[in-house]
Amino acid sequence: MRASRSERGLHNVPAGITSFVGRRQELAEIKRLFSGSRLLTLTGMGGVGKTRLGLRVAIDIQRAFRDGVWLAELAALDDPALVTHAMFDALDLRDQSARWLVATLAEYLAPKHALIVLDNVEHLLDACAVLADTLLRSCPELRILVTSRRPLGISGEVSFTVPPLPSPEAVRLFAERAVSVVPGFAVTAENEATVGQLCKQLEGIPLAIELAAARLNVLSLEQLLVRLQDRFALLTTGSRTALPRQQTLWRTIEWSYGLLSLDDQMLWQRLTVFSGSFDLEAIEHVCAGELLAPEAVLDQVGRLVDQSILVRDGSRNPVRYSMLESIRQFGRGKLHESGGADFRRRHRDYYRQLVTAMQPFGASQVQWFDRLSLEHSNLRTALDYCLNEPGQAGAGMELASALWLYWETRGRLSEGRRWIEQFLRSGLGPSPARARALWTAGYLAVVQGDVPAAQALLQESRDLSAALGEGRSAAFSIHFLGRVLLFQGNLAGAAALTEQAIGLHRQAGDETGLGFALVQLAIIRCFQRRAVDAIRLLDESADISNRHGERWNLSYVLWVLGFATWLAGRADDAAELELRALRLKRDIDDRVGIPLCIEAMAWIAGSVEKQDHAAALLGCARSALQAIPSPLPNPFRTYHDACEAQARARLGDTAFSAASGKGESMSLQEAVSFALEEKVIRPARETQPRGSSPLSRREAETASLVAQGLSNKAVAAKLMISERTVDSHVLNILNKLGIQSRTEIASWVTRHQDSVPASALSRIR
Amino acid sequence: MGDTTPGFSTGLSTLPDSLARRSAHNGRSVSLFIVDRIIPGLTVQQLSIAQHAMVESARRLGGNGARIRYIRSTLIPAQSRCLCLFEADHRNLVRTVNETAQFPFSRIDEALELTTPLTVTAT
Repeated sequence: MRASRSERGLHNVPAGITSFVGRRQELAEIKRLFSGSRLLTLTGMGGVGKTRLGLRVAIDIQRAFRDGVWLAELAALDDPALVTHAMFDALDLRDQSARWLVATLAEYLAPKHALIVLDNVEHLLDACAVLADTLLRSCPELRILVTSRRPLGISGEVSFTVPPLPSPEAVRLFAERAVSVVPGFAVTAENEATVGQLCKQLEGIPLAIELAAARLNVLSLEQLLVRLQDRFALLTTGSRTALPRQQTLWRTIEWSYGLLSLDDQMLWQRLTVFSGSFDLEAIEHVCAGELLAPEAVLDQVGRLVDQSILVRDGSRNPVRYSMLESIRQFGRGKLHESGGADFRRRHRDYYRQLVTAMQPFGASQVQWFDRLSLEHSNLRTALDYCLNEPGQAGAGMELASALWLYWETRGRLSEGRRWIEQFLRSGLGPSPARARALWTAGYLAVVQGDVPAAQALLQESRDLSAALGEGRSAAFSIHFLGRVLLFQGNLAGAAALTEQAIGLHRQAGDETGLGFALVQLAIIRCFQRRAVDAIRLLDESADISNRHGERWNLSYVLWVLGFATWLAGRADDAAELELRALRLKRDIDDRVGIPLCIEAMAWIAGSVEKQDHAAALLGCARSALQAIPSPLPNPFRTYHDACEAQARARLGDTAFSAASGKGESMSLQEAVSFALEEKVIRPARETQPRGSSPLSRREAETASLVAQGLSNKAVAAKLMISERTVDSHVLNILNKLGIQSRTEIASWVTRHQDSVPASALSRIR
Repeated sequence: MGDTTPGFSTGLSTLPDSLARRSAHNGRSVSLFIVDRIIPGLTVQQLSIAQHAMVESARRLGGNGARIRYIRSTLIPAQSRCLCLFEADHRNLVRTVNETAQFPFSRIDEALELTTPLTVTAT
């Protein structure tokens, strides 16, 4: 399973950001401002260090947020409709339903004490502002930190303009960057004045300083200063309305560009067609050729990294590269001047080839899903090109449809459907590709539970497929119409259609469809209490999966096999099958399948009178569903409700609530470990007060500070929460302890030191 | 508003061809638009969140000569369907406001609203 939130230490801020120069005053001021406001926007020109500063603040104060700190990077987004999707990605949530995403996000965040960092929002300012306003209204303990060239302009916002670096810090930054290109470089009495002049020329703009320092591998300090001075004097002043510092950065980028060879300049331009991060193979395929020799690309990439044009991320294998926005914008402008539309097509072609070359129903399927996740930003760019470039809608429709399993397995149902439906509306006539797009959109709608839309799309696909003689699309549309009937509770109808689909899949020689359809029919047979038939179908589906080396379908085979085996009265065998299914689902990161397995385990445990364990597993399943977030699918509610009712009756309400509460308090990773009967390792951060205490951890921290004589305002500043929240905590403390005054709180704290978390005591001291 | 709009008080034969209701507003007219959406599971509480989002979005995108105002919504729970009424200079502005609010929709149509019955004169 990919790193869960608890494994990531309740944040997703990149590790490299910890290297940082200066900014002590700014950090202190930002933290002070943030203690009194729930929305803080760091503004300033491009290249001044807003992102780096924002992420540093986030890391520094992360311990104040019980539910973590989450970074949503928006630089690569063009479409306001995708802002919420970016937040889903940041929080590692899955879009698994047709519900309104903003509402799902607000409901998920409502009970959370978390910090969201929205980075680089200026090009999506209105959408981000409206979303931030919505979330702050709905989520009382949420805070948001934004980096943008302009403030959001919403109520409650505090903005802080990030200044350029003052001279001593600018010099330090220059020196740190210089050492990476000239080992042993140091600022000395001899060169201090020159370095100072350089930094002054660059007006303390961090990005400009880094670009200049990178040139020390070929120029001396004095040469660097003279060339910059000459360059700035020669260039025109540009826009009269532009701030002088913006011109300085632009001039520095332009100067840096001018110092490159023609080949390196060309590569810089061509790299701007990428979105987010990209690897060397992609660079070679998209950018090489036409005056750029493929064998030279590796060295060129190295030079651009050395010159700080490209940022290298060595934490991944293969290494990935990215560009800062200011540098990308400059390069994009140059590409446009030189007529570089062809490279956007090449970018699209490369990613189309990537998608179609891989086998989603094979041994490398999970690597395929993970690779596509990494390339998601570029997939969006490729699809966007197809949508907006005349004559490319057909290619876009095929690309979006080919990704159908990716959209599902990586929890991007709404986005996948949106792309496919946009292409379906683009005016393309009847065709095999259209028939396929219709059933893939219909499939995504079924998985979302949007039955009316699914039915319409699948029926249209079925009819078109019949008219065109498209056997494969006909099979899939009938297959998923069967699923629609299953969701509607029409088991006989669902079985008939699924059997028909199985016949068509066999006829078309399509083992992907056949494997899935056999599992679907097996589920229907289970609900029809025909467990023996179900097991036979699953055996065939397992054979297909094993022959292809694929694991996604196999994990569902095991899950349903466990269910069928349980229905056949073999609880021990069933439990073992569900354990195997869950291990596999953890390996392939099937967030939807994991709670289904845990639910089945609960039903099995309850049926053999292990009620305490059943109750805990029901809680674990709820936790796993909340991690998506998603409710339990309707067909399984009957079994869930029966299991819960039995456990409650046997244990009593109190014991049941205690056991299920224990499960529900676990993270997704902990819940899976518990269900697999592995040792559950909780993160180092305390989750409960020591000893027994009626107060929550936050209330105990508040009580401790009150006991030290701090006002509510001072407590708020200390704990990085609002004064209103402290008021609420104090009220809760008084009510829970049955006392009337702050003096009594102090007495209680003195008597119950053991009930105050050690982390609270250490933080406060 | 209907009283001052040409054609309304004199019978069906003099209704304007366009279905848009035009309301005079400092000499300039705006149109009504219905935004139609199917959102499975949409609750009143969620609609309330959406209303704030649409109001804020309209506030931000109106101005600079562009006029748009969110008026109200009607939720049909049995159909998971929500109809939102806007008053705006043009359809594209309504589209942009809803896209900025990230509240998905299926269609936007010009609308005609009748609050009192017309008097129909036989001809």
